[in-house]
Amino acid sequence: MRNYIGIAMFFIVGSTAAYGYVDPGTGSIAIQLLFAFFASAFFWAGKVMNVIKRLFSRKSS
Amino acid sequence: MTNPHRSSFRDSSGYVYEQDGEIYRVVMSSARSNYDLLMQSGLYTSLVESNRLIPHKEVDAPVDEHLSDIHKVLHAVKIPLITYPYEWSFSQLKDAALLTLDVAIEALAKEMVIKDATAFNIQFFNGAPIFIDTLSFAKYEEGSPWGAYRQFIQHFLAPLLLMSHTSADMNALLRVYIDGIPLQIARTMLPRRLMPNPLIFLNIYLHGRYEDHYRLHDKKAKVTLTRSQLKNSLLLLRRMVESISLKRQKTTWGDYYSATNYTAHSLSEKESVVLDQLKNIAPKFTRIMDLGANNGKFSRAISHLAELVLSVDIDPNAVDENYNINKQSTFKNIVPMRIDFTNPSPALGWAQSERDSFITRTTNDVIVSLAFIHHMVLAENVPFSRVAEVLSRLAKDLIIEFPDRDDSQVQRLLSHKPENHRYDRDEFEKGFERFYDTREKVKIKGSERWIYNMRKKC
Repeated sequence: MRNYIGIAMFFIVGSTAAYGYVDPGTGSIAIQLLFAFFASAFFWAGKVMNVIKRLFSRKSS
Repeated sequence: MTNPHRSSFRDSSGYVYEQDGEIYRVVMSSARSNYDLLMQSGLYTSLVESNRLIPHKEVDAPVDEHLSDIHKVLHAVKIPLITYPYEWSFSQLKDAALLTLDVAIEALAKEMVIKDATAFNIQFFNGAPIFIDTLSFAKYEEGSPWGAYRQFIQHFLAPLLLMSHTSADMNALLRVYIDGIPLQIARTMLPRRLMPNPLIFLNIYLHGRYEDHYRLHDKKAKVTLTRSQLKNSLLLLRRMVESISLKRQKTTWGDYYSATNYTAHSLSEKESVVLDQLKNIAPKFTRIMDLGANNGKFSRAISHLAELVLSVDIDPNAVDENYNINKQSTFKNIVPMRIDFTNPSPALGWAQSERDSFITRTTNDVIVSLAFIHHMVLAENVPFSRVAEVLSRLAKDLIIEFPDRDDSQVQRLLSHKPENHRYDRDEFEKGFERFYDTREKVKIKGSERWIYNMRKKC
């Protein structure tokens, strides 16, 4: 657990004012960076898999 | 002078008020740029055309003369019945979550974001969820994270995970936690076996830890997300929500119709008696409440007689099945609600008037109450007269089924009661005659059950 928090702390500096009338929560703002990284990696991996699948399907036809 | 609706005070961008039964929304000047962008970007048209946002017309309507900084007044389409997330089934909450994310994703494509993601921004209209907060849209600022992310997790993801992995009625917690289930609570209630799932770990467990950490140390965070990172986050949240399913839990009434003591013939006889009795009262109703609706079999049978059928049951699986059957069919005027009639939703929130109670929201023309009264009297120990009193507050007309002592379901419930328990037709009629006159009573052939057609006493 401490390792995850440490990784995120590395990215976090300064301050952000909450916008709108909903308090977004500081921890919530911070965790979005990790989630966004995870999400981008997930979809990137999906694209790579699709390319590989396409290559194999061409060979088989 | 127009007063804001009791639930419309948190967002300074505007407020909602009701006049002559119509719903109006005031857009304050401070929200001018966001509202104009919503209308001019094509986002409003696209969302309304796909039935995902409540439509409105800009009007010249009377507003508070003390307010000078008003940009527009909108006349919005009125939702016939307001329901709350703690009254929905799993699939209703899931569809509301998916709609919220779809609206957020489409907004981002048009340079906007939704600034809040409360489940109270969603209502059920024509059988499907619809986004009702026109002033939730704000201009997207390059690099900014989603300010409503935590709210989405607390209002949708955490309750859905709890419903899926612990109990299908866990969204009842939204009654207590009106701004969503706190992450600290959610993570202690979810089974620990879910922790290895990286998405659940990140969005619930680690998210909760981060919130604790920053609150305790009073720290601020500045995070920059690119647009594609934000879009990917929304898309992954969508996939995550889509993958959550309701494990079929064994509930008391989930299999009622497959385990009923009716023969096929007597069930169809009951249906035709109920339809005849309704037609004897009026050819068409504005609103019928089917109380103890189970999976909505009779709600669907009577739906052509009403503009709206409120289909109420206590069993979360039965309500979920009801919603899913209606969703896949043409029954768009049925609103399923999970309500425990012995403890219906109270008035909640600020000054206990932000969210109305179930009883104040649900005035009906007629109540159809089938296979219900014996559970109230025998399982819940509520006297006949008390049931009659509450029903008479909800509708003037009542079609109610009374299963006699010899009915097998009644026998099962009576087996735990003293032999001289006063459950019989005389007691039923005595309890109800204080509040109702009986128009007609019909015995259902091939059963030990009676259908009573009653009119509230003046």
